[in-house]
Amino acid sequence: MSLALIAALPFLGALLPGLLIRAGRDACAAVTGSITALALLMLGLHAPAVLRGEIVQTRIDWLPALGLNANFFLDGLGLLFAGMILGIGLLIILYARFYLAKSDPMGQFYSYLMLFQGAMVGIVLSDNILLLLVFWELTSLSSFLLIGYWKHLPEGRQGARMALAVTGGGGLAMIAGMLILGNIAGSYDLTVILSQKEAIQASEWYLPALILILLGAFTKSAQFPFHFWLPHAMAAPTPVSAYLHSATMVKAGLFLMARMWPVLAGTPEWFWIVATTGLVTMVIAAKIALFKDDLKALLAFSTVSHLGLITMLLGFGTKAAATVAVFHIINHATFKAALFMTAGIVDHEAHTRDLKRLGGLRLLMPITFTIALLAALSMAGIPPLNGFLSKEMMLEEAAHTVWITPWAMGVLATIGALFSVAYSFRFIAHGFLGPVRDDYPARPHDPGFGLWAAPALLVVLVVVIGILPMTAVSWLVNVAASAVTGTNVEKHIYHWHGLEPPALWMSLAAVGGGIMLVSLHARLQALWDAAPRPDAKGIFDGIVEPLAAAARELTNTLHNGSLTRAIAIATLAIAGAGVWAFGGGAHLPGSVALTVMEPVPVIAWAVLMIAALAAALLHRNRLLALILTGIVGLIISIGFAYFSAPDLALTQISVEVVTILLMLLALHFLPKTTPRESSAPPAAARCGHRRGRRAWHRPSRLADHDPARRIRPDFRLPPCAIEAGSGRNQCCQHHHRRFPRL
Amino acid sequence: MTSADFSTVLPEIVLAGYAMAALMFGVYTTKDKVAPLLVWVTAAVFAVVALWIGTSGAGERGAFGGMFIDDPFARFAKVTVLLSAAAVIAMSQDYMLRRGLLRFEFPILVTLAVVGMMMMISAGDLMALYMGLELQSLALYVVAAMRRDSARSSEAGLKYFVLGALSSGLLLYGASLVYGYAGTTLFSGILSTVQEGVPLGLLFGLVFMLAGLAFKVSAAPFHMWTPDVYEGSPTPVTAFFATAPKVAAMALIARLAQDAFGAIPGQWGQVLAALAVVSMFLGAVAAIGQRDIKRLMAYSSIAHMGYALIGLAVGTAQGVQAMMIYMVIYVTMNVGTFAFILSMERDGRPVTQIGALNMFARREPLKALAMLVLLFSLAGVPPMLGFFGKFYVLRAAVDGGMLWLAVAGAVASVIGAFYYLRIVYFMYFGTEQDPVESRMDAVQWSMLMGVAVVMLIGIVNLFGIEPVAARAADALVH
Repeated sequence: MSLALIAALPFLGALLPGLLIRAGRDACAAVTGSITALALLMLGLHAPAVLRGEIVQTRIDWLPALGLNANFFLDGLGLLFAGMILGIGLLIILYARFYLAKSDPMGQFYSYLMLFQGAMVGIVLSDNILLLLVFWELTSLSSFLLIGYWKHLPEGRQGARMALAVTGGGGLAMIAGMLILGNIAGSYDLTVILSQKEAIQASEWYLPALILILLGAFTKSAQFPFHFWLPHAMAAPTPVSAYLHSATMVKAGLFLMARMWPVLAGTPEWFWIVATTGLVTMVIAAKIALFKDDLKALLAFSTVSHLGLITMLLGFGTKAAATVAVFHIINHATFKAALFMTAGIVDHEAHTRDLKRLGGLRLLMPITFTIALLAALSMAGIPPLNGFLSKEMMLEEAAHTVWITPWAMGVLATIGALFSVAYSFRFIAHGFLGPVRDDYPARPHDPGFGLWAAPALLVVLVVVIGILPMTAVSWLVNVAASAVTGTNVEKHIYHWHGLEPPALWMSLAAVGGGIMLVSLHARLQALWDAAPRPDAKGIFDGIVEPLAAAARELTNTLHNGSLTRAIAIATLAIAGAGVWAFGGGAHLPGSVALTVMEPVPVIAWAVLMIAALAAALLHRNRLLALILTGIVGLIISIGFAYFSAPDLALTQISVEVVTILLMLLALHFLPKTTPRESSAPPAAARCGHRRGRRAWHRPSRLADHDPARRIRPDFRLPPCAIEAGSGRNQCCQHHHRRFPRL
Repeated sequence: MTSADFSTVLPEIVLAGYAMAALMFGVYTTKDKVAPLLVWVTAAVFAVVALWIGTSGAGERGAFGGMFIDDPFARFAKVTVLLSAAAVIAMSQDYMLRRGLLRFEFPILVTLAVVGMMMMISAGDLMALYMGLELQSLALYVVAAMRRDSARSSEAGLKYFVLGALSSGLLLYGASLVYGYAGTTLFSGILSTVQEGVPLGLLFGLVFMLAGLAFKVSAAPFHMWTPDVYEGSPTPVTAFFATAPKVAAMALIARLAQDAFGAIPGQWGQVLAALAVVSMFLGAVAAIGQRDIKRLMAYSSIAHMGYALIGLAVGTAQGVQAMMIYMVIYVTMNVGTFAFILSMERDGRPVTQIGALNMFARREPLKALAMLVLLFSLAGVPPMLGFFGKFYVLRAAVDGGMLWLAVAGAVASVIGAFYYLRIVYFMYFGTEQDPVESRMDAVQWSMLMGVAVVMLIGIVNLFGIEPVAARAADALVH
């Protein structure tokens, strides 16, 4: 029950800020914070058991018939993530209290934030994949509200829409994947699914399930080619960016991959899809980050890059790599949240986040500078900070992984790390170093304690983990990695691996190259600006807009409101269905026994037919002959019916009737008797209306003037033929149309 | 024809009697002036009859030699039909009164249509089926064209009539083939014929009947009337079209498929699965380009019928149960959404442009939030109730061995999410434009808010309809 309560607490907490905002902003923040703290405390009570290797479970039946149960479980991975979500959440609540302006509705903000927090905690504690899905989509929804919190910013609107479209769509695709997975495993409980590796990987539906689930994870974690939504979501207030887009929501995709690792990983498909996507994301996003001037955009792309790194590690499918991934998740959450908060402080104080308009802040805001420096150095992977430890281990794993060629992975990972060093240094160099300027939009100075307390605390963690990794986090990494890999992991984290391993040299190359890139930045920027590059948002719009236009076009052609078209389509569909029924139905033999043939009826039948045939041959009158022929046909069909072939008889009758009718029609148009040579008026004129008739009776005067009429009267045309037919030798169309009526 | 027969059909008789009495009352009193009163009384009568049917004991009873069947399935569907019809006419009253559309015939025609629907749901015979269907359809043709001075409304009525007549013809053609080959019009008799083998003629008959019924549920490719009729009819009529008749027609398909052709689920399963897939995708894709919210709801209903048909196509009791739960959730969502659409106006004139909803959240945050919940629910995004409806049918498809159908459904829901979310986007982040007002009477307001709340708290246990639907499905599927 208590796990369910941990997940439910933030939801209950979401109701309070809205009610308490009248009591003041401090009270509002305090209540929100204490609820988060309470959830964190309850989580902490379970920690000892989880660290011993136990799994805490809470099972509540919800809709058992649907396979949907409110089952929660807490293992190492869940503990790590839940702790991160609640812990950083607490810091964000503190930070947001001082960050938000007086005019911003704070109660609403905290309500959305708690809603989001509850959804995230729900994801990481769910023991039921359907429950997980519910929480998963709830994060999309609440993040939509949070991103769009500042409604006055147009880019916020754009960002919210794109984030929702991409992550929401991915989540819906994941429903299908989860359904397949649950179907293969025979249960929707994660604990059951996780024990069925063989069955799942042997299933023919493994690949579709994998792709659909990864689609959900990749869109959520902004992996290439879905990486474009994250930077656009940065229009949100900075606390939101720090919380959603660095520490928690974007990690949900990673969490899912880590969670499913025991059953999905280890196959070539997994390796190629996940590791490749991670690698590509890491390199591309790191490169873009270097050339962003907006502090938050830089951090956003660096986040994408680091998420790619972790994805890649999970994609390797080895235990060692998965352990490194878990370790880097912790490290990234600490330094990146701190960096986002510093970026927020800079924005808050200097009223700009543009690196081109900043610089020299080191002297104006020393505290902020210290925090930013430590966090950025950790992001660059400089010893002895925590970012160094996990980056070193990542390079080590990459160097030993064969991807296309034995060295390609190592080289590309080094390039990614190199860019990472470059943008980290640039963040510091262009933002804080350099001369103090006098044209800031507002004169910056260090903010009050409330605003820098949260990032400072995170930076303390960065340093402590960096210096004492074994004491600080190795226990958590081990228990989480054990949960991810499903086996016991005892990882020792070293600072110094000796001169042998390639990671050291790769790391050195990265730092050297990174510094070089920063020093050359101005020139590179010019190159970058000149080079054509795909604009992801443009591509997204470019894909979505034509698709929407195509859908519109299709609809307009299909549904133009014409009744005729509606009937035509329905008729076609029915004809199709009829063909299907004809092809698919059993053409069963008749159930009626064959009739015994007796000579008398057969002879009678034959006589009847010969008589009719003879009569038809003898008659000279065409109509009578035709009718007699029809009778012959009917007698034949009677014969068929008698000889146990009613279907043939029916066919014969229908063909016969149609033929006779057509022939009767033809007879009708023929003259009743053989036409003789005569000087009677031609049919057109004879049957035409009065004008035609008059024209016929008074031909001579007109004929003198009109060459068309200077012809034999038999073939003379009525005057309307010349008008309507616009020709001199055509028969009047009007008359033609009238003709059959007579 | 015994008194037991009549007691079985008593609810229908009462309703039919009420309709005739109300007609006389309207004609011989002040005509349209009594219309508001008639609307309230009719809604109350529906609710009372629903309560009556809902509590009228368990078990399965046949009447008139099996032509009329009263079983848990029929009762479930009838209660849904009656309650949704009551909700729709109650919330239409204010709209129609203000627009001068409220004729006293409206509640009476709706009552007659509802009687027809109840006959359809309980039909145990081809003739009973056709009778119910035509009673319903004829009443609906008239209400579609009720706004006589509007060319669009007349056009809607005409189109609905022409295509509806075509579908009735198809249905009759199919029914006559079935009769010809089975030698009986009773569903039970057809079932025993089918069990011995399926002659081609019977299959043809089945296909044609299904095509005719697909018209009535507006499943693609027999959906062509839907967008025009939804758009052209007065909004309350559209709301009615989108709710009760759909339930009745789905129930009828289920009844026909299971009771008469239950021995060959593979055959009609394929037809229904094809209809489901085409409907889901067409509904999702075609809705993208729509600018009119009523037209959009038409395509949305086409897509939703596709999902409901998945449940039927599977052919299992679980599938039927999923379909019924889906229909109940669908109808509820539509009632809420149409309560809102009814209230959209500008300068006292109804507005149905989606663009008019731009920045609606700023003016009416509460209503916008309710609509957000409803639209997410329509899109099937968890944790709203709509997700559970969708999940039930997808789950039934997976368990019934139609995994591909479930995957297709999930993919279509991704496409479909696009246009629902677009409306949410407009409401919250659109550009400033001419504002739309939302004037609601108490009924509409409580419908909108009530349904939004239901979408949220219904996820606790679906209000307990799950076991009821399961019982109903078990009664139908043998």
